[in-house]
Amino acid sequence: MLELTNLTKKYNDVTVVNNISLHVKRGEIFGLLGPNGAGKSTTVSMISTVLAPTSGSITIDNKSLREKPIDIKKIMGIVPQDLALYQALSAKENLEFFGSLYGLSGKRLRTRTNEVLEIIELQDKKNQDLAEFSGGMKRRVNIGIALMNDPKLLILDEPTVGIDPQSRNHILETVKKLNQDRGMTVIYTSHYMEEVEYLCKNVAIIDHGSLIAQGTKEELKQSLAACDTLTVSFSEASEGALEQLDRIPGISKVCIAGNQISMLVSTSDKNVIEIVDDIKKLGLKLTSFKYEEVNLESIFLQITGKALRG
Amino acid sequence: MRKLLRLFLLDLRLLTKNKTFYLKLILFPSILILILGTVFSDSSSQIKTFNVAFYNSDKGTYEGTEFVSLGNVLRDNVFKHKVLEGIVNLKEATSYNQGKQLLKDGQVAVFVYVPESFTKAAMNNEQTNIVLMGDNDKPLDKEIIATILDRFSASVRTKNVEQSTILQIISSKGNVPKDKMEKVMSQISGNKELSLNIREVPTNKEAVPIDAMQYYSIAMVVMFSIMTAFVLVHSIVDEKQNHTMFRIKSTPTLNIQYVLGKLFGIILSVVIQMVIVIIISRVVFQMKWGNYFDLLVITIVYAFAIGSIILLWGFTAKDHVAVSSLASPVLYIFSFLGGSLIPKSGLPDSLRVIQEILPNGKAINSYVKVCQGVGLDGMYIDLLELIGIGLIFIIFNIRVYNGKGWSKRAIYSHGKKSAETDVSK
Repeated sequence: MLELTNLTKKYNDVTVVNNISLHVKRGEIFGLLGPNGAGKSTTVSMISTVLAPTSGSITIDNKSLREKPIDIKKIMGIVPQDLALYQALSAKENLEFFGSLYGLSGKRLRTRTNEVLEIIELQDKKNQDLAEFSGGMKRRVNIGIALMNDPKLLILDEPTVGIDPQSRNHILETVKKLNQDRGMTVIYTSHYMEEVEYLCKNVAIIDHGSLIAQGTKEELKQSLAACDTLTVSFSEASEGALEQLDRIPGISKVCIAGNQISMLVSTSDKNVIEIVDDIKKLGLKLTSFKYEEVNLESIFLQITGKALRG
Repeated sequence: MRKLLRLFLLDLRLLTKNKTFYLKLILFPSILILILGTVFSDSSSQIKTFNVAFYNSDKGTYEGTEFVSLGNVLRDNVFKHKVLEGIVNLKEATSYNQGKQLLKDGQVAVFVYVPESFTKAAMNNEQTNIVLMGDNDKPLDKEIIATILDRFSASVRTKNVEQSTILQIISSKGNVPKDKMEKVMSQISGNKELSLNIREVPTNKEAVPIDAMQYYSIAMVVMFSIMTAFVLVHSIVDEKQNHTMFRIKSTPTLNIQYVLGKLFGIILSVVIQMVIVIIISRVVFQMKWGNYFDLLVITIVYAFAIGSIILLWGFTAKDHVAVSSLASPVLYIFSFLGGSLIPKSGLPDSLRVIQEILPNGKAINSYVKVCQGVGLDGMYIDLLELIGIGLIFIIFNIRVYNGKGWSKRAIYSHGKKSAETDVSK
């Protein structure tokens, strides 16, 4: 469905997206994972035709984006990271306006607007100005607009940033349903690894504009011999304690952010409790700890040496 | 076309929800026209018909066999001339006292008295005066009559000098036959070109002069249209800041559709503004504007040109401060050089050239011509130039709007080397 080949974007001497190649299959939810500033939004902007790549090519539905931008835009829906809405208009007016830009009019436009309002569950508030909406409701309208043309390819750029858990769950469920019920191909970018893990089978991880890993979650775990993650929070630490953490047997890749430490741990020789005890012995006063089996977070930590949300 | 209309209607809908829209687009020009109308009406700077009492006691004199009375000439050839129809309503008094009484009673604004020996004295280059009395509350009316009398006196003096000079030349040559002398004198009298005459500067045969109210109404509406365009281009900055421009770019909307949609919004707003000014000035002050279709054509063409220029700044500006910071200098410089603050006739020659180049200057000149009764054929070059300006700036606008988007200039081929850490390969 989507093919990026050696996609690069440079601003003067700064390379924001560096030689990214990836393939998204028709009908799948593809995760694009990376920390803030990794180059995800720039990549989305290039796919949206808002930015031209410095080099490389983009093919969607077997059509070159350069050659057939209008044809491709007709089958693509973009949900930008920032809310792209007219606050002075109602949800219905926003949907109708953007629907009309996709060539919908008259009865078709009204019908599609109502369908989308049902999908985003805002039928009862359709005539309210967006200025009166909560952040989560606005996010839903932001997604709804991208659905107006019933796209074959839906690209969501961090659609859950800054919203309440309820709205977040609603958005995740909506995306899953769109994919399952309508066979919509979805590209989902996020720095929340649990969202990507929940939705996506295939994942690409980018950092500093470069693609650092790509494949199914299982492939990534196997190829990287990925470890579990131990995250501890501490209130006090004796001098030199933090520097000695990676000397504890079973611990590798230590990432410290404030009073939180993320570590990759191997539990083949020691169990988690023993490792935690070893950490305490170094002089760290722990307030909590969380142990997670291998996941995208631990994969990211293993590849980059830093936490995904850092 | 439908998308273009949608984009245009969107702007209109957003504007109608904005309270400052009503203030700047409708209220400001309305108030201004009311102020202008009040100022020009109350200060008597607008010429209306007024009554003039005239008493002619001039007994005239004989020039050879011909009876000459300059008092009669003043009454019949000057005050009753068709040029003064609609301005001077002449009432002949039967006596000097009746004339004064008419003035005292307020029945006339001015009383003109021609003394008994006026013609004789004038012909002999002796001191004489026409008496002029005026109502102090109507200074403009008195001023008009005084000017007319000045011109009349100057004309009489000029003819006297001309005649005496010719006579001197003839007499110095000696033996000139009487019939030839009379022929020369008759030619001098009949030749209007030899007499002092104020020439109006009409733009064509049918052109009529316009008054201050008309000029400043035109000048102000042209100035306000620049402000309106700046108000509207803020919407482009809004769309950049609320990311809807990003979204519109990701839809199958052509760049030209977006640019023209914005421009049409400006054109409509300027037309609305013009219509409001015309309606108010027409209804409240009975101001004559000329052919409405011509006015509409000029307004659309002018709004197209000025809108496309200011639109470019909207596409270039990063924020509202950038738009606002340019608005005031452009507004005042364009208004000054274009003739909104000082009429073209008051500008030095070098600035008049600029006035004729600027779009708002062209618009003012065209509106003035319409008010003077000139049709579109008398201003088509200005209109074509305005269209040309608009088209050039539309091209600039599309290029700027396209920005860093996809273009033929981007390099699409690249080295075959893939990402080193791509674990799927």
